[in-house]
Amino acid sequence: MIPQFSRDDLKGIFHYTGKLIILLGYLFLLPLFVALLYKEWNPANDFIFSSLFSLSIGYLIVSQFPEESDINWRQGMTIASLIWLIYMFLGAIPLYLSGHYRSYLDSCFESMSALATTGLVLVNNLDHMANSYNFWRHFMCFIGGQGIILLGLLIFFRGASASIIYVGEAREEKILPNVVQTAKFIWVVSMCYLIIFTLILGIINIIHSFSFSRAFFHAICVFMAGWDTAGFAVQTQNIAYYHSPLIDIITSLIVILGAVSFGLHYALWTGKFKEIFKNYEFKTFMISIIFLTLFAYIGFIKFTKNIDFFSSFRIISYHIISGHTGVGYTNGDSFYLKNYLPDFSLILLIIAMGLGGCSCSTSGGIKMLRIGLILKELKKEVKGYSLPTSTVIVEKFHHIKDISLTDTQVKLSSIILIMYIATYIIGGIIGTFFGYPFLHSLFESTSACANVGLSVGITNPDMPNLLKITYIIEMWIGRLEFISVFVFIKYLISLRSPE
Amino acid sequence: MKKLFLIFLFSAVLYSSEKVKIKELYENSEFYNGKSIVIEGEAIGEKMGKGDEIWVNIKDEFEDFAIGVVMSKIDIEKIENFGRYRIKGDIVRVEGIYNVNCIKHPGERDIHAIKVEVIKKGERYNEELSLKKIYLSFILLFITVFLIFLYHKKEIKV
Repeated sequence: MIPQFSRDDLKGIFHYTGKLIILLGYLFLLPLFVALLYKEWNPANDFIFSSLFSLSIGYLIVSQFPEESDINWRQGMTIASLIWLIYMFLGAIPLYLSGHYRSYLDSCFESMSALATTGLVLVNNLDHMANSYNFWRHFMCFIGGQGIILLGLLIFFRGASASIIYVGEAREEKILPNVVQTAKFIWVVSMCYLIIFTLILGIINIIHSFSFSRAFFHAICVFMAGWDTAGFAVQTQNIAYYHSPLIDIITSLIVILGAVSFGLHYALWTGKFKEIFKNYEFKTFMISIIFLTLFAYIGFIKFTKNIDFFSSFRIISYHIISGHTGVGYTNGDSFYLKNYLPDFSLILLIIAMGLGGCSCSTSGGIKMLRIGLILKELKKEVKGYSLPTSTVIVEKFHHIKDISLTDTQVKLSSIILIMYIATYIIGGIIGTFFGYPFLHSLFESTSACANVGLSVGITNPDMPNLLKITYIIEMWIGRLEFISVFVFIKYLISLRSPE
Repeated sequence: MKKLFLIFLFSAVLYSSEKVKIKELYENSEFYNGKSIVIEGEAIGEKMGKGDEIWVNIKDEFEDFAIGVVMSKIDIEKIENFGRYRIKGDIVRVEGIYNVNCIKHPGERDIHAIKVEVIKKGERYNEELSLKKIYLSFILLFITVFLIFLYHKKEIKV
């Protein structure tokens, strides 16, 4: 039997959901500022409209449910899932009004893609898009990558409610004892990197003859989408627009930093530099990137004619890093992946995308800590067979501190692993229903669910609406790592069964 | 004699150049690789780089496909408008060699321009303000102010 949600549960859910909607209303003021800065009057009006619309909905809800109370686990999980859908619908309003999308569904797709830091796009004529709309696309990546709830934590949630809702947004690690302090740390780190890399990219762009304003506009957008492993770009050609190996290197560095656990960032910020060499997850992540790049490269040069070492290395390493970190930046294009990459390299790229980055980072996918834990358990099992049955084997790993491997950790990691793989495959099968080859639809499905954003060309405005909805769902559940979405679905079912 | 040879070479290139769409280039990369082709499209964004090798991205006028073109300083000076918001870029015809994996620019898929000409000048344009949207925003402003007032009134009671 499904436990019922009480009226008090609903009060808490609506109260905090309303507050988070109000927060979105105020967040629209930033792209509005950009619109005013660039004298983009029509977009400015669209952002005023979107802001007022969100504020009116938010205040309407909060005025009906004004009582603030501590929330329980099921409320926290439901708020976390629900708010992502609401942000998708509201965040899509200015995009739809921009006229760059064929339908509201397309703008919702783009909005979810940005918030979930996927990077798959359905935008038309991006090269002529107003700066403020473009800024909003990238700013949504930043909000989503940092976490909508994480932003709310700084403002609304306190005490036990804060801890519950923090986990609901697929973050388990508490870097500092208090989740609000953790949220503050994550924002401080992100803002520091934003300043550093916006300066670096801006200067490179100026060297490449960009105007000052364009140089820094591109720089801040590329940073926001890179750091939060979203992979959106200012121009249609993505990173290939810049024709610059230096930009490739800098963006690779940004995305690796974005895919690294904030726990590791904290260790480095507090001067514990040895943590880089000791951290089990980071080591697994780097080994995985190196080996996948190496094998994908071997496959590429075996099957591709007339290509030199540096060209193939630049293309392969960039895409493996892009896929593994979940950013989805490309220095090529979808046709290159579809027509030029041999199946062998494409499969390795799918594996890289599916694995994802580190836990408690901005990247998606299964996460390297889970993979590492399952490998540790495998090692433990193999060891168990070669030792006397009475031997107790304790496997340890270092992740910020020394941790003993427990059955619960392995069980949870295995469940999430199975859920991800199942979703990748189901999405792939749905793609084949619409006539796409299985390997290509598996690639696109993995890219959506692991929040990567690389594409072999299936994602485009002409794709079937049902497939767009499939990918929206995949992006949503992939970003929230299933559990909170399942609690939310359970909640919806409980609404339908009055007993 | 040298001049005659150059004219012959130039006309040979011109004759053999095939006009293709950018999407077609991407779809049939193997076929066009290393061949002389002609593309037409809008110059977008900005020119990048200095000296004798400048990058310009050319976008198909009607589809969302663009490609990087390497051209000389003389050719780049022909282009005045680069497409972006409120600017329609110059429509250019580029004749050049298409490279799937450029040897000179490793990792780039590009066109090395031989001849560039502007076939249609671009222009700045203004977007008309939508009065309907402005009225709608005003109505929404009153509703929002009323709801904020309602919320604060209830909050004081709670």
